[in-house]
Order: sequence, then C-alpha cells, then structure tokens
Amino acid sequence: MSRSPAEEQEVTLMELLDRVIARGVILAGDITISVADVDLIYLGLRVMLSSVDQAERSGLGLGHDRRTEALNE
Amino acid sequence: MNFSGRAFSGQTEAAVQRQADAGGAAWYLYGITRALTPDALRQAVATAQDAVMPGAGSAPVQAFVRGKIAAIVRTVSLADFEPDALRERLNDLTWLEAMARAHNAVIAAIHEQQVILPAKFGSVYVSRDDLGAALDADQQRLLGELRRLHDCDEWAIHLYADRATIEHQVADEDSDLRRLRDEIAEARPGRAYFLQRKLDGEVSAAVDDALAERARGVVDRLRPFTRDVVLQATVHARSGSDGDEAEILRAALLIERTNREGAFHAFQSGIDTQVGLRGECSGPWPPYSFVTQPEASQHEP
Repeated sequence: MSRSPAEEQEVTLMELLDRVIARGVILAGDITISVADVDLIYLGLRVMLSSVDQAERSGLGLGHDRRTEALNE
Repeated sequence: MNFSGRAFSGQTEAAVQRQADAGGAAWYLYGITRALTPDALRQAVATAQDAVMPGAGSAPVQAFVRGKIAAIVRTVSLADFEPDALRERLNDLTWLEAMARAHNAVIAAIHEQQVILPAKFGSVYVSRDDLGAALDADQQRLLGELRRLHDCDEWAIHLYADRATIEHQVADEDSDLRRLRDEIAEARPGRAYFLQRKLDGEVSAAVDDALAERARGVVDRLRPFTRDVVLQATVHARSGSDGDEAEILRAALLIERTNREGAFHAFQSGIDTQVGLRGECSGPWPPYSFVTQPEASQHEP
C-alpha cells in the first residue's frame, strides 16, 4: 500500500520529532538552564500535541495524531 | 571563569564572544563532535551554515573546541528560551517544526562529515563558561561515545501487517483452531455461542503471537548487519488507520556504513518471505537513539 506525498511527509515529520525532541545527549554536570529547559520543552510539547490531537478529533483535520501517539509512548 | 576554548566559524573569536555576550545571547547546543584538525572542523561547520533557525538571525554555526571534543553551537536570544516565552512558542506548531528541522539540519550536515552526538533539542547555555565546564566534566565519556558511534548511521524501520491475511493463515494452519471450528459447526446454538467466543479469543491470541514472531524474524535477519537495535514499540494487537493493517514493529537500527547494503537486503528479504507484511525505512539519521546518558545527570523531573 503506497502513501501519498503528504502522508510520507507526515511520517518523516513524526520520525524527526520523535528523534529530535525525545532523544539526544545530555551532558553530565549540566549546571545551566539547559536540562530544566529541555524538560520544559518536552513537557510543553506533550501538552501542545495533545491539544492538536483533540483538534484532529473535533474535525479540524490537523493530522498529527500519529506523532502524538509516538511521542506519548 | 574564563573560557579557554577555540571557536571556528569564519569570525574571529573576539567577534563571536562580543556577539554572544551582548544583548542576552545564549548558546544553543546542537551536538558534540571530535575536534580533529581546524580545517576539518571548519569544513564540517561550513556545511551546516545553510540551516536557518528561527530567532537565530544571521548568527553562524560554530565549533567550540574543548580538548579533544568540539561543541557545535549557535548564538540565540536567551529571551526566546526562557520558560514563559517557550510555553507560548510551543503552541506554535510552525515554529516548533522549523526549530526541529533546523536542529536536525545542522546535526545531519556535521554527521555527513564526521561523527556527532546529537544534543537533546533545546539545550541552551547561558554562557560559554557553563558550556565549557559541562564539556570538561564529561570529556572522557563523550569521547568514548564518539568512538562507539564512528562510521555509523541510524535507520528507522517500521513493519506493518495485514491482520486479516495473518488471521486467515493462522486459522488454516493451527489444528486446534480448526478442530474448534468443526466443533462449533456441529454444536447446538447455546454451546456454539460459547465455543465461538472461545475461538475468537484463541484466534486473537494466535494472531498476536504470529505477528510478534514475524517481527522477531525480520529483526533477527537484520542483527548480523547492525551494531545495535532499539525496539521502540511492538504494537501487534492494535489495528492501524489503514483498515486492518497494524503496525507490528517500530525500531531504530545502528548500522555501520559498510553494512548498509547488507542490511537493506536483509530487511527486504525478511519482508518478502512473509505474506501480508509491509515495511518502511527512513534514514540515514544521526545516531539520536543510540547516545547514552550520564549515570547521574542533574535531570529535574
């Protein structure tokens, strides 16, 4: 089963966010705002994507439910 | 504390320092790479300059050398990364996507030239001294990570199965299920109802087992060509959005470049030998999924 270009892009964006947001190295001994801000970013992203998911269900058609699913697992 | 590292960006170090220290600038960390020769670093950083990041203006991507490692960084406005500003910006999906794409574009450009440990998105340092101290404290571990990931790419794979096809296969091949079906055909209505419920449960469990076995079979074929595998999700029991197609495996593979063709062949043959399977892969990615974290990082909940 083939995917449309838009769907392909959606999968790629999901892959991108799944990697960029959720993973990556954190340095030992971080003493600046970096670690706390990473947590804020990640926490904030979950909240934001949940609201996108709700918009999707209510028919606004933003189409990011798979990404939400991936990030919340 | 004085920053004693060297900066490579095409600008003089003094100009870079003035730019960063003026007007609430902060240092956005993309990743850590090896500090090879100055020329190699300049060349690697030059390839990353095209990635435009929102809020970074024309600030260049730079490499800060600290001993044997170099941090790939760019100056950003600290105001953009303060908690209140971030909460507001995170509601802007366009901004977030642009940030994530720029973050990856810089890391991917370096990754094409030499091994890099991608930093977690949004690692911002208020001063170069802070960044330098963090690099100093972690130097040996980071060098070990860079050695471990040398010449490797990350690949993402997804496996999907047509659940109905697998169900037919299982129902035909499993003698216990066949016997139960025959029993239902001859039973009275009341007993047939309960037997049918039993059959449905057993078929569902058998299909889940068959899907998991197929996913394992594909991964086992890939293992000789991979240095590491991270299974991110095995979701064999759930139907996907495409009718009866279920995603049965999502995984990240760490593959040495010399093994890339072998891995592709193994993935394709693993799918082709199974009826009802479909696979997707994407890559090469920088090794996001394979960096390990320090044992005692100051990670706030």
